[in-house]
Amino acid sequence: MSLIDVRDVYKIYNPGENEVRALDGVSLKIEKGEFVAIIGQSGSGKSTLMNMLGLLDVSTSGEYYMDGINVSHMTDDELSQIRNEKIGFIFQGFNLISSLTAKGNVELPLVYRGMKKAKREELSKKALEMVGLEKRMYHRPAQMSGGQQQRVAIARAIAAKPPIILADEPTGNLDSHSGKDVMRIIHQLHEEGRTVILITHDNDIAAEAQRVIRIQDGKIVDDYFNK
Amino acid sequence: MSIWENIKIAVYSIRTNMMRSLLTMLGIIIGVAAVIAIITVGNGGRDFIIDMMSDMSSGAVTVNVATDAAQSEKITSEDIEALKNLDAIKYATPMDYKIGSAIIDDEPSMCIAISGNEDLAKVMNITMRRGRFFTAEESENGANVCIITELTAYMVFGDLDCIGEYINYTLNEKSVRLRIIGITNTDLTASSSSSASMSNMMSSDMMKNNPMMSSGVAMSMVITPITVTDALGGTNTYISLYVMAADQEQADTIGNVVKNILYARHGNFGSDTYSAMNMENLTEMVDKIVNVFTTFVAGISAIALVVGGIGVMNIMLVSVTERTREIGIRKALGAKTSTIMFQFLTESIILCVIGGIVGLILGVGMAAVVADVAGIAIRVEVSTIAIAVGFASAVGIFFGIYPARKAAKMLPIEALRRD
Ligand SMILES: Nc1ncnc2c1ncn2[C@@H]1O[C@H](COP(=O)(O)OP(=O)(O)OP(=O)(O)O)[C@@H](O)[C@H]1O
Ligand SMILES: [Mg+2]
Repeated sequence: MSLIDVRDVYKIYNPGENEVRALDGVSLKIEKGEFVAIIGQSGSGKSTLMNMLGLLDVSTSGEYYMDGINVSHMTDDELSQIRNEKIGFIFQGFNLISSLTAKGNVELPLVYRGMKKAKREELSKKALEMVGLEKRMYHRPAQMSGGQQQRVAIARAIAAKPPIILADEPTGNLDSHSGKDVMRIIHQLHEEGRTVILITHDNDIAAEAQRVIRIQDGKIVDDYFNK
Repeated sequence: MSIWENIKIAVYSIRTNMMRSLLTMLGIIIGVAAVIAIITVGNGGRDFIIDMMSDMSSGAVTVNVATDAAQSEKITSEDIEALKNLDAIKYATPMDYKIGSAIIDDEPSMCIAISGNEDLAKVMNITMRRGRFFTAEESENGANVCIITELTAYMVFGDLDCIGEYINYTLNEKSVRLRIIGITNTDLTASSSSSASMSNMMSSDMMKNNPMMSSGVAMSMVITPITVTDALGGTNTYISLYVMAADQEQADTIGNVVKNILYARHGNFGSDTYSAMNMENLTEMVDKIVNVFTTFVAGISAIALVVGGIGVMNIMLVSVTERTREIGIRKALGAKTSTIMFQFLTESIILCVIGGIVGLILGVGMAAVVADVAGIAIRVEVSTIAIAVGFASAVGIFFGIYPARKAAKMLPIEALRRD
């Protein structure tokens, strides 16, 4: 049983006249503990695929099994719960809440999990330590550099120790030095046994993954393992 | 997620947008303050009017003789006796005011004598501070005794140790020495200022017989048996009587019974000589007047509240739109629809309840100022507070639900895509 098993998924915008097939019959299996890079040109459907895999979006048709459970027809609240328990997101644009401190942001998934305050503080502190931001716990996003913000976002993604990490161009907005920092953390997460799915259009970064999936016009055109 | 967590998030969000939150609350504050001020002043005004118009005990009924009635139509002591003999009537007393002059402790004053029989204490709800009220025997025999008001005692003697002292009361150029047997702490000014008999007396005794009157001398007030004022050259007829029904429930009907007995005894059926009024009639009448006024102004304030509510909805909508991305993030991280909805609802309720409480304080403050200027006492009821806070919460819930639902129902990806 694969961790992720997507069968013949379509995502069609504006059906009819000038329809856009953002996903055009995608089937895909990802096993537990894999480190997968999804690459492709701009507009090829990478983000759409990631949103689908992360249960942030619903497909037009097709089935999606996670851990053998069909999640294609679940309710909004059921999906929220699965996202909370199983998936850590690292978004392209950080997506931190500007009114909350680093710690507040990192604690959010733990809050929604219903965790007690003491436990939350322990876990969020650990996560921020792991990304080297223990001294920035009480800073707001606006008081931090892009690289630091991305690391807060990573801390938030890993604080609740979800088995799957989804990262959409996590280094896209960063200089090469910060980008390396972020990649180092991502490797570490993979080594800890988490399944990492990373979107990039940087071939060097894709080369760091175990497996590469190339997507074009909403279709998987290539799927191979790096040596 | 706990309610406490939710309230913390809401308070946090209100605080980070302080200016906007304050402006939002302003609508609620003004609406609630207006409603509270109106109700409170209305209540105070109502109390004041009722207080001013009557000293009657609740359950007491007063029957008055029309001002143009003939001498033979006025109430006699035999009428009172007849009424007292009825089982349905517990207390009956004539009620008279005479304004004369008094010399108490060598000090001259204009003196209002309120007189009746021993039942007067019951129907006017007169309570004693010192000493006692006069007895039935004293009333019957015309004992020269009196009760003075606390104010009079302080004014003339400077203290309340004046039981057993004498006052010299003069009416119609006849004088009588009255022994003080009691001091009452009941405020009787209402009776003396509002009664129909007052205007009668004004023209006659007071002006003619009291040269002191014009110089604005001190005014004293005494209560005497009616037999005492009768002896001072009264006509032995009265234009007011008070009765109290044996059964409190009968206060309404007893007025008519008394009227009919008086018509029968004076043979003037069909005339409009006698009119009855009880405390409930009076209260009802005043309530009607006050309610029309209060409802009208409260209606206007309710509109202010609704406008305030729409303000809250507007701000919440802006807040939802502004924070669509935040909602997307929260949902992506596992917030359920109900959690998001509850968060925004909590926010609007907190805004409205704080607005409601500030409005309440402001409203009572405004009422206090108005009441001070108008010289009335305000009365804040629990129900008023409940209305204010309840109304504010209702506005918060009602106008908060739409934006909250709108926020909560979004697909996470849709919310995340917006800026
Ligand atoms: N809400 C939408 N409505 C209509 N078309 C959309 C919508 N979202 C995405 N698309 C289209 O779907 C296609 C795939 O978009 P997607 O965002 O997945 O591309 P991407 O591979 O992530 O590109 P990039 O590398 O630029 O981020 C694009 O052609 C885009 O125009
Ligand atoms: Mg993209």
